[in-house]
Amino acid sequence: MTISDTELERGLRGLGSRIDHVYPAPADLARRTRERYRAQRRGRIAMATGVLVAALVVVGVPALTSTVLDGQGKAAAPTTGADPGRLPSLAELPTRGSLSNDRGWVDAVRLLPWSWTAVPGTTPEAPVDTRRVAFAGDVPGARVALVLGGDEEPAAAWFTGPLGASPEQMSLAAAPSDTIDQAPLALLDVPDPASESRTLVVVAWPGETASVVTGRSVDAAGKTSEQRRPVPMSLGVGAIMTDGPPPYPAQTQLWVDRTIPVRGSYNPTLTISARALAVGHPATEVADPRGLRGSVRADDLQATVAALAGYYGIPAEDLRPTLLAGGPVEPGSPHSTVLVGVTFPSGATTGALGIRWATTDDPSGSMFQVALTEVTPSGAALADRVFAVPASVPGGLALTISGPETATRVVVTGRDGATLAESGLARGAAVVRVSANPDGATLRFFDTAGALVATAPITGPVDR
Amino acid sequence: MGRRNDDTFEAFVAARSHDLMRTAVLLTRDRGHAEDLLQTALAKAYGRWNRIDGDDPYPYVRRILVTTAASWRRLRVTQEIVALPTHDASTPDSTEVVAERDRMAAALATLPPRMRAVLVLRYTEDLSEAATAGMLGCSVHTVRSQTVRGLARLRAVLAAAAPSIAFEEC
Repeated sequence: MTISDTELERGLRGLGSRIDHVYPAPADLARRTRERYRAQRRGRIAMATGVLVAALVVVGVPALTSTVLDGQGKAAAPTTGADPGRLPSLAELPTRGSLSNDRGWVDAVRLLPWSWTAVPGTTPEAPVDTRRVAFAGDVPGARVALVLGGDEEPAAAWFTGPLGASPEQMSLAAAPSDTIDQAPLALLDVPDPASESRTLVVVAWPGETASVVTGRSVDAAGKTSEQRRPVPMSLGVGAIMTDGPPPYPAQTQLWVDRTIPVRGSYNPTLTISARALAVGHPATEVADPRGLRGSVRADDLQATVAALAGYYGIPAEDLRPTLLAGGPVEPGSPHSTVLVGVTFPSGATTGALGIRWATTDDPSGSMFQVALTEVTPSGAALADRVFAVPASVPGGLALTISGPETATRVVVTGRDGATLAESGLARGAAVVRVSANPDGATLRFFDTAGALVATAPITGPVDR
Repeated sequence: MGRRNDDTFEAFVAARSHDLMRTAVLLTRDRGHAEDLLQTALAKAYGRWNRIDGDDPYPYVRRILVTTAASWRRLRVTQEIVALPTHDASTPDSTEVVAERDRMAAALATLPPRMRAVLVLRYTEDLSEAATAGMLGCSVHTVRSQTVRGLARLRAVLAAAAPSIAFEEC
């Protein structure tokens, strides 16, 4: 039996009262919180006076060349008030990187202004007396510094310059941004805009390892295998240069593995440098067998192709992209979609849906997003595959459909048999509004004579 | 921090900690993690207590709670899922109703953190799409699409079908 959205929503609302009953908050929560806050504060003050943070010992680093010494020249004892269940802030750790011992350079970078005029409303400049340099060093193609500052969770400012740059040659790589407690930080930069190479810099905790997803191979059976490269790390920081299409989505291609305090893999908070964002890419040739190019935005089409190339790490031209469907979700609508299909070298196929919707959330007046779909084994050409990819746009839901070339009409039926949409097709393609969540729906395609030519389910998302 | 702020903090925790704890449990699915999450959020708020805008600190503290839970704890290897306590005889609910809620809570715990946060904020906190988007720092569209996909995922899990892979967009 299908569970309706209304039933699910009712079930979720009912959870609140159940949780209230079985999980009351501790009676002494305010006291415990104050104690925790004061313990954290004591830890910060201890660090500010030069005591090596105890958690470096906790994470099992065998030796630190930059061990902070106390006034008598002996290694300082760990603080007794540290919480072993938490990592120290990155701002509390000693400066790391190849320039960490160049005190003059590090201190000069710490004083550099954080002015950033490109984006209004960005994170404000941290007071100089709160700043610490978390990383300073040469990485492949560039010199990089990470400065953290602020009273509570620090704000982060990445600076870049040419290899061997003086502090005065360093400039902000991007707008300063907030950090998240216990989240590693990373920078994606393109030191040479004329090349295809990107540099990733990771600043994590000692003992942690990192890897970057450089692509995915897809075999004839449609099985997808992730390809990774380890990031060379020392004391929890490292950098790597990679080639190939720009990664998509960039924020989730870099992983940091840790065991303390909670074992897991994390995506660092990624900053993309302004010069990396500014790199242009030549347009990819996209097949257009249905003559739809005039119905879709050229930049959305290219962005969708780039997303596929970036996710799989395969040059776009090797994927033989084909425009399958697209256009406004209804006549005159400011919201639109574009569906691109690709064929992997193995013969397996997949598709991606670019969705653009009008919104006041963004100064440009619209936003864009790409949804990747499931992979199908080789054996069926793109033109013979049926795609029906759902998208949420303001005011409801839409299906972007690519069906048999001979089909002129499609009927979308929900699990309960109700008709969710019925529409004409242009050479087998259309974008149609649906009246309800199409999860589990069935599409039936008919030709001009009314004969059923194909039946297909909703296309699923990519398995990632 | 002065005495007056300690008093108002104490009063706030007494008045709103159960609401915050409920949200924390739904976000973490584990009492221990929930208490840790709630203490983390309250400790952050305590440090800024005299600088929180507005008369009611609750939206601010809830925002810290949700973003802390949803943003950095993206566990990929495993995610601890601890069963809710068994039915307490003092509750007036029937065993069937409680079992249904436990199934729902377990299904909710299988969602990616931010998708789970969207559903918790929309349905147990009863926030609007716009308020949920503001709290999670994403667009209304993303909230809407995450809601649609989250409900679809819940439906699949509750129907004991093979779990589908959910998008994580925020």
